[in-house]
Amino acid sequence: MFAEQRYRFLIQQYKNKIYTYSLYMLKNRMDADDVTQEVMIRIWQNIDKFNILAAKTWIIKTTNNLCIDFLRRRSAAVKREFEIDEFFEDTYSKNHDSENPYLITHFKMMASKVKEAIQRLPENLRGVFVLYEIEEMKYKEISKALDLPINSVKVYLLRARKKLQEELKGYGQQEIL
Amino acid sequence: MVSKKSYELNEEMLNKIISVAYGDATFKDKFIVMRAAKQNPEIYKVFTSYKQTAKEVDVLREEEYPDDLLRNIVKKNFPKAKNTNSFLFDFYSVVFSRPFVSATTTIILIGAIITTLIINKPVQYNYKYSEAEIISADKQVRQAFNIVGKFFKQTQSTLENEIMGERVAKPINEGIGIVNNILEGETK
Repeated sequence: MFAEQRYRFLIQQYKNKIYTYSLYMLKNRMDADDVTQEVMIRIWQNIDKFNILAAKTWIIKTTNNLCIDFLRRRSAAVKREFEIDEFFEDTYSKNHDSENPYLITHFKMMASKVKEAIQRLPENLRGVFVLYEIEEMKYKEISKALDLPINSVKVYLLRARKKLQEELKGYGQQEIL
Repeated sequence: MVSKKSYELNEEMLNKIISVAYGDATFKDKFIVMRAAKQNPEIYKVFTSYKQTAKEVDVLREEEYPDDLLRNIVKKNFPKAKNTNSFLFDFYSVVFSRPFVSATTTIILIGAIITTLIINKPVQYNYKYSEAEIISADKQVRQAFNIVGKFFKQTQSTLENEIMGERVAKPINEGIGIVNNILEGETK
């Protein structure tokens, strides 16, 4: 009787997490949509099997596995790399109260550059980075979701931060105004 | 005392700088990096650039999953999913969750009850009793009435002789006598 309520709760809670992770991992909106849909179907199919409190790890693990499957199947489609930027929603500008058009434009450009740089990170580093920095998951949760030891999670995160810094070197690091 | 070597930009220092810039370093590391940044301009530069990136990353939020896509998914997949659910759930969702369906069901049920009552007349028995059975039944009825009559007669005589005379009329007479005496005493 409560399966539907549980399902709706989980979907409301995690839909954006699934979508964001898929989007960063797959660099393509349509594939991210497909993965999100597939995860949602799997959540429904397993709604009675898993503990709702441990759902987050299960959901991210499933999303990650599906993303990896997608990436493997799509290895030939390198051309989609160019689609990265346009498929991101403009979530960055909402976080700045500034009404200065110059600043808004700058923030938007910077955000898209950062997103692109994140997407250029190697697959394993990218997953950890997105889960930690954007999805705000803890080391332990990431470790469970990605089947990695906690130390590896920490190392990957450090590497990802260094790599991101290299990627962004020379772009927009100058002070604004 | 912090040695001069600790202000050098080596791998260990870089890791600390990154942790501090992203805000997940220990207090000790923070202190070390801040001191080193003051002493070494190169460390300061690296720290500032990492801090800038961390700030850019920090404002990134989760992407919003489009509602229309979500609605499509639920629409597409829920009918399938509903089949696996219990009868109670199906009954609840069909009958009670939609006013129109609920009203229609009620009308159909009431209609069915009325039709059943109209079509099926009350049951009538056409059994014929024999003469002996009728006489015996008549006898039994008479006996029953006799018994009841006896009880009534007994009750009537008890009422008239014992209850009305002794328990009702006598106390009333006595009461009236007392009242009369009082009234007579007052007029005198």
